[in-house]
Amino acid sequence: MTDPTYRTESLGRPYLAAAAILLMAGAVFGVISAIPNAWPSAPLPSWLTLQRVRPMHTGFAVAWIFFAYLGALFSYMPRVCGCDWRWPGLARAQLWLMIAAGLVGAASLAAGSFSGREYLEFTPVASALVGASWVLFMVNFFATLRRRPRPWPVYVWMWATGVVMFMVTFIEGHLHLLPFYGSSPVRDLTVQWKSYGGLIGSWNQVVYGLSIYLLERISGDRRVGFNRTSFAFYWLSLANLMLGFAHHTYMSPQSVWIRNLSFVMSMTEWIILIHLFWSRLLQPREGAEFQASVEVPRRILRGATFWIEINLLLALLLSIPWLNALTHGTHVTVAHSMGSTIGINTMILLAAGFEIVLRRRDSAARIVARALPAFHVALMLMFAGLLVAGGIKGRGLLQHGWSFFTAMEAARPALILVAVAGIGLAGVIGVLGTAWIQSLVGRVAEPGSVALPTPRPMPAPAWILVALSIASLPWWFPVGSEPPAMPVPKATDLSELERQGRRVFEREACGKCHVEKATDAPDLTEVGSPQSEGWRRVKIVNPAWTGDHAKMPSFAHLEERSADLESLLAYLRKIRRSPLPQEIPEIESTSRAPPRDLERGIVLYRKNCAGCHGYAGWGDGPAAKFLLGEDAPRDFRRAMFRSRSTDDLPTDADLFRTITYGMPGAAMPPFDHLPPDDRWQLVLQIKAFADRFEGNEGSLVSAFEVPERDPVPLPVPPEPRPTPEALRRGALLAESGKCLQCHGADLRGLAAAEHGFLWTDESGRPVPRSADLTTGVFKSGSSARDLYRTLFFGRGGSPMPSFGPQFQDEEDRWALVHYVRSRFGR
Amino acid sequence: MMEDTGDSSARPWPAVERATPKVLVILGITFVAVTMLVHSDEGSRSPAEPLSGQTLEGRRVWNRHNCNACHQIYGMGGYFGPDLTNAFSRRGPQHIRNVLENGFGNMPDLGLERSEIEQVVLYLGAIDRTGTFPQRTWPPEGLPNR
Repeated sequence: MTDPTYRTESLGRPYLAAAAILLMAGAVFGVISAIPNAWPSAPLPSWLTLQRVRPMHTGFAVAWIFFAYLGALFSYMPRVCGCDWRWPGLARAQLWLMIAAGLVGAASLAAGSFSGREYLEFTPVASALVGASWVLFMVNFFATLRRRPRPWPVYVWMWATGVVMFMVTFIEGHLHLLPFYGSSPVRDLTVQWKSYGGLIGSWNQVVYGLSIYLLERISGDRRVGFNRTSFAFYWLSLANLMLGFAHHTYMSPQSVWIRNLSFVMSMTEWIILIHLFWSRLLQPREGAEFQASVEVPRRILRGATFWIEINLLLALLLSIPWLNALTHGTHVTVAHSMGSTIGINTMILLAAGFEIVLRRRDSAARIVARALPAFHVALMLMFAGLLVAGGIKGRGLLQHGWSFFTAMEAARPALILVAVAGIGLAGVIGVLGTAWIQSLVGRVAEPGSVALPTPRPMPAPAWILVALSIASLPWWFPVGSEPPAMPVPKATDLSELERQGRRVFEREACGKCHVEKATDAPDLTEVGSPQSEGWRRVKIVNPAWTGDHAKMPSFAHLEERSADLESLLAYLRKIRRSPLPQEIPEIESTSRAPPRDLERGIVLYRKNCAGCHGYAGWGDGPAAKFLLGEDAPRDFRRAMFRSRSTDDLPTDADLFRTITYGMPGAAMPPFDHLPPDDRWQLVLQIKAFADRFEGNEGSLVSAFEVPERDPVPLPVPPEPRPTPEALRRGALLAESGKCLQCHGADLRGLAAAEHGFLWTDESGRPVPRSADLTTGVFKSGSSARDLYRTLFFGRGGSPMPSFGPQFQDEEDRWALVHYVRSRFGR
Repeated sequence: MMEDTGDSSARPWPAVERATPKVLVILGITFVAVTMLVHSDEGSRSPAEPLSGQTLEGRRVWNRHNCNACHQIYGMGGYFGPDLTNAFSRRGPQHIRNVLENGFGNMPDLGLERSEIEQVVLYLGAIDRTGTFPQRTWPPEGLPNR
């Protein structure tokens, strides 16, 4: 070792110390980011959502690369130039600026204040600090480089280019702050990703330059730095940095020439693949004395060779347009970025870092040598898992038209593999980082001899074969056209339509919430929801129309695919058990509305009622088109209500009752989740729409007037005990009283069209069927009291008249009620 | 290992090294030219309307909440949630409002104001009008295919 040492080499040491810490932090946040991908229901606290953790992971990982490469450059430049750094003070100022940038950036991320640019999520203040520190670095770097006469070895050219191009692309990446870029989505996107392609290219210039410098030192062959192939490789990679942002922007709707240029440029990298000149140089030197700072980097670089081959291969495959179309934006892209940042960049930087920190017989060498195979195995598993996950996702989404959710479910096992491998990898990184720091601070004893385990190298053809088969994983991994089985309710004997509906149910992953109960969604086979099919239609197409019932996401696209919607509804009809007769609890007659809160009433109405009843209460909300016949929402101007304890206008308590418990069998859902005060405000708001309520008379329909007096409920006499005699009498009365004429001889209801009826509601909307009385599911409730009211006080606005005038005798009235109730379930 | 600076004059000056500055100048000029062309590119379809007012606000809301951590536009962004390039036309504005108001699955309730939700809807509508993703043709078609 004849290298002279230079005082300013030590400028790199604080960077190297920070780099090791950043590497370990990046790995920890990587593991946290992987958890929700692998186990979506893992209980992560809200300050650890992906939104916050992902920028931490990428931020620390990128910071590791920069701190490690700066540490290496500060250590190597004096050796290469044969002189000290021109301005050591500038280097210290740069370090402080970078630390400030890191603290400001990390604080903005931790505070959840994002600038929203992927990989540059931190506040632009941190970016400005980074930019300032870089200006200092460039000045220092070139001032030092001037002292070295040409010819410069290729790695010096690469370092110089990388340092300049970082500044250029870093500025380009912040152009979105200018309105010219920010106001045009396509330009914004294209420039953003062009700059990222260049920025990664810029650090690759420096890191690959470091690897060539290490090769020179390991092989002792000074020709490496002036090799013609090395220079050709440098020019080509520089052209790629500048012009081949390639697969990043294939998909954005930019001009075609940009795509074609990127494509041609990225294809030139095939030339690089042909020149795998590395392994020859990475043989141990004959008869050389053991040196930890040579042997350890040699082993790390040998490992990196494999990752270079496999990632180059994958990147080239991804740049082929139709493979790009299939894998773009899937985890194959993640494999590409993880494989290159961990497998190539991190490996080379580890090699460079250990070359600097290890002493001749440092026992940390043994720790590194033992950890390396584990590093490769963990990274390999992670890489393979990502490729398989991406292959499944891309083909499921694009070839088979699966929903995103379905594709993620199908990829889940692979994502679990990724997370487990990632945890292993983070562990190995922890070991390596600790060894690095211990060597750096000189805490490791220097034993007399260090025996490293001898690795058995795989022959080159076998390597290439393994690389090829791993890189092509996404394409030979079988993905059938059928999506993975999604939970569905058990049902047999399905018609063709219902089977089609079950496919829709599976495709939209309804069962994830409604069968597996990942949420508190109702079981669709249970009696739980007695609402009508119209209600289900509204819930599927747009749950927001149902106000606070909107826990479910909208499946609005099914409205356009009406065949899918109809078959899904048919399937839901099939799996659903018939609802049971539903009694509606009575409201305490002493309950009274509180004073009106106009503003609150309007807000509540708009959120909960307007979807069906319309903003002005005309019964014409956006959901009304799905609600036909008896499902049609009331036009509140007319104040014709089905459920009431009077023979005309309902009492406040009647309206409160309907709002609270809904209307079984109809589209009106219960709103019992609202606090009683809110429900009372809704009562007052609904009354304000109609001028028939006292206090509104003579006014135009007004949402602002308050009705003054409450109608008085009519008394329902005490119910006698039902007797067989009364039931027989009720049956006769039903026949003579024309009940059967409209509801059919079996009381199962009739279709109006078939029997020459022209039934309409109060607004003239057709009512196509009369009620099936045997279900016992009635809008106004099925208790004896409610039936009595329905029959003899009438149903406001319904085609059914009041039978009060016809049946004056209380015994007759109760006989009819008991007879109808006796037919429930027949 | 030889000392680095001592022998450089002793050996012939390699032609590749001598040519490198010229190569850098050519590449640099090309880079500047291509960069200017890419930056002024209006896209493969008639220029989309520039974002302004509420729509531009929507972009700010999108950025502030780091939506990119999970979601993608034209396949660029995170991997945890679906691509939203054409969410506006495929799922509809109501769906977007609904998910933003309530959260859905792994999507947290971001606690957005009503006005912010409308701004995001407008922004996604503007993105939607710039084209379609994914495209399976080469070159990808610029015009939206509804």
